Amino acid sequence: MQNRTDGVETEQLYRRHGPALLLFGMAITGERSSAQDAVHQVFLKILEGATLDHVTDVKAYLFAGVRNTILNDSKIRQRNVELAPDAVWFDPPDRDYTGELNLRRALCTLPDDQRQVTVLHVWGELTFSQIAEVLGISSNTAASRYRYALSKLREVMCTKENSCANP
Amino acid sequence: MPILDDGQFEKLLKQFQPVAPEPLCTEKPQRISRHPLVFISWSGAAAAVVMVMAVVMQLRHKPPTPDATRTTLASNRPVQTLTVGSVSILFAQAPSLRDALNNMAFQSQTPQPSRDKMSALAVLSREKTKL
Repeated sequence: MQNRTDGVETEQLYRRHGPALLLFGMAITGERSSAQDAVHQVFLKILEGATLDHVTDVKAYLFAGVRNTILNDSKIRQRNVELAPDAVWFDPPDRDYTGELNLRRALCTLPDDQRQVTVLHVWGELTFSQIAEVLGISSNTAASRYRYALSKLREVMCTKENSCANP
Repeated sequence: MPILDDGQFEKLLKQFQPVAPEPLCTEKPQRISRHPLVFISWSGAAAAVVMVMAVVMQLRHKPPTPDATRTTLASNRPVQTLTVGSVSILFAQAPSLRDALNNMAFQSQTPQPSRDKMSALAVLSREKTKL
C-alpha cells in the first residue's frame, strides 16, 4: 500500500514499462508522437499526485491508462488510423532493420483489435486476463484474437522473407 | 524454410525490443535558492549606490556660498549711483538682507568729477566771500 507514488518509483515504472506502453500506443494511433504524448500524460498524472492505492495491477492500469488517454482524444477516435510507415517501432536484433520493417508491416496488416492484443501479450507481457481487463473483453476473446494474430503474422513474415529461421 | 511453432515464433518476435520513449521530464523548474547573505549584500550594495547618487546630485545642485556670491557681486557690479532701482536689484540679488546692506555701505555713492572740472563745493571753498 502506498499513499502516493513518488518520483523515483514512477521513474522506475516508466523505465520498465515505457517501451511497451509506447509500442502499444503506436499500435493504436499509428504514430509515435501521439503515443508518446499519451504515455507522458499517464505518468505525469501519477507524478502530480494520482494515487495507485486502489490499483491492484499497476501494469494493466498503465496500459489501460494509455489506451483511455488515446481514445479520449476525439481526433484520433474519429479518424481511421493509418500507420506511419517511417516510424521505427523496434530496436532490431543485430541491426536487422529489414526484419524490423517486415515485422512492422506484418503488424500493420492485422486488424486493430488483434494488433493490440498481440502487442499487449508479446511485448507488454500481459496475461490474457490482464488483456481482458485492459481492453474490456473476455479472456477467451483475447486469447482467440491472439491466436488469429499470431497465425497471420507468421504467415506474412515467413512468406515474405527468411526471418522465420530459428531464433 | 522451417515452420516455427507458436512458442518459437513468440521468441522470435520478442527479439525485437520496442524502442524506448523519450525521457520523462520529472524535474520541475526549480527556483534559484538564494542565500540570505547574498540577498543582504545585494541590497546593501544597491543602497550604497543610491546614497552615492543622492550625494552627487546634491553637490551638483548646491547653491553657491554667500561669500562667493558676495565676491561675485562686488567684482562684477559696475560702480554706479545708488538709486531706488539699484537698491531693489541689490536686494533681489543679495542672498540676505545683511549682505545687501553691506554692499550698499561699501559702494561709492559720490561720483568723482573729472580732472579738469571741479566740484561746486571746492569752488565755493576757494572763494572769499565778504560779508
